[in-house]
Amino acid sequence: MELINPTSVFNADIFSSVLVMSQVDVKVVLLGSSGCGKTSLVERFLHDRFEERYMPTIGAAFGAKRVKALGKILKLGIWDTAGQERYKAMSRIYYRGAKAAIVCYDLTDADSFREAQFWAQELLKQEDACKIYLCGTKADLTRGPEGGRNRRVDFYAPTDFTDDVNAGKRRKPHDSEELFQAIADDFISNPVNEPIVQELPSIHVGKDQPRPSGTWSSVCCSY
Amino acid sequence: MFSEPDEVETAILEDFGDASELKRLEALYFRQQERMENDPKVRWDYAISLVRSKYMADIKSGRRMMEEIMADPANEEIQIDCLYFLSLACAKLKDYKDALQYVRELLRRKPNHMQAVQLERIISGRLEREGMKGMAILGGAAMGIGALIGLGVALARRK
Repeated sequence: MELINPTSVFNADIFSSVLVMSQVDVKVVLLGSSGCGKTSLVERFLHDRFEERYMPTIGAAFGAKRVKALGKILKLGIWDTAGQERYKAMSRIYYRGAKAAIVCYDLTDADSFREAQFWAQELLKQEDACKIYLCGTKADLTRGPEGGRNRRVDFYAPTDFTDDVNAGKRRKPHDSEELFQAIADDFISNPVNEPIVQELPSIHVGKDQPRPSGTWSSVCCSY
Repeated sequence: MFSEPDEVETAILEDFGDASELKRLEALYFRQQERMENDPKVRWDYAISLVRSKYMADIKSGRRMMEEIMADPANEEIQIDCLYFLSLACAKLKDYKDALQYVRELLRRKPNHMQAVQLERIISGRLEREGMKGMAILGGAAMGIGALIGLGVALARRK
């Protein structure tokens, strides 16, 4: 919680909710091989835009957005790491303290899935509190009559190493909006985060339906 | 839609690297120097971690190293990356004029580079704020002088 400056105490009632709001950051990190679409995924969510030209991320890019989840408002601070080899050492630092990691792989590139496995294992070892979201990208290239031939990552490959009991039952996010919404919902409904969630400003009294969740979540999104 | 330039600004300019990581890379770099080896990867990792440091002295060294890396013809393909880190280093050193030059050079080569556009906006904002502060000080001084002159005139008239 932010300590209120004594000189602005008279403002406390008006601004306390604002202060709380700006305090609760949920750190989300994107990891995955170069060119698999991490930045495109984030850009779509933050600004609803798509850049045709490929511009590799330098180091790591940052963006933030507030989302409503189960009647609460929380702020996602998103670190979009560079996938290029020369930034691999640096990207390891960025997942520290992350509450959620979106590990991306390109559905048309088998190597990218191997790299996703590397990141997932790394996260499992290093970041206990970080929930991992496996995200297969470029799904549009695998659709249609010709699409099947482009697919290089087996449909069951990701589910083989997931232990989210709900992975099969619950509806998977299919675009970036739904993916980040799922991250926000999971964060709010996770009992571990209860002390933080209690401080979050409510927007209305919603029906909170906590659901059990494992450390793994397999999602597949297309955009 | 929420536009939140300030927190983006803080996140970018105060995205400090890990101190123990910097120490590790520093040791690696100097061991290499002693052996007269030159692994560009070691130099690169060290330069980045210097730029991402919390301390001005480190950032200054990082800036110098980045300039060397950029000047090296072998590093043609990472010029854009160098320009970005140079601009970031200068911005962290509050050398906003140089920071702006580096990021604008990047944008000249890669128009619409999203990270560069964001960084340029941050630096321009800082420069503007800095300018306003300067103006306020100047304005204050001008008012002071004006008051003195006014007082002088008033005193002169009383005679």
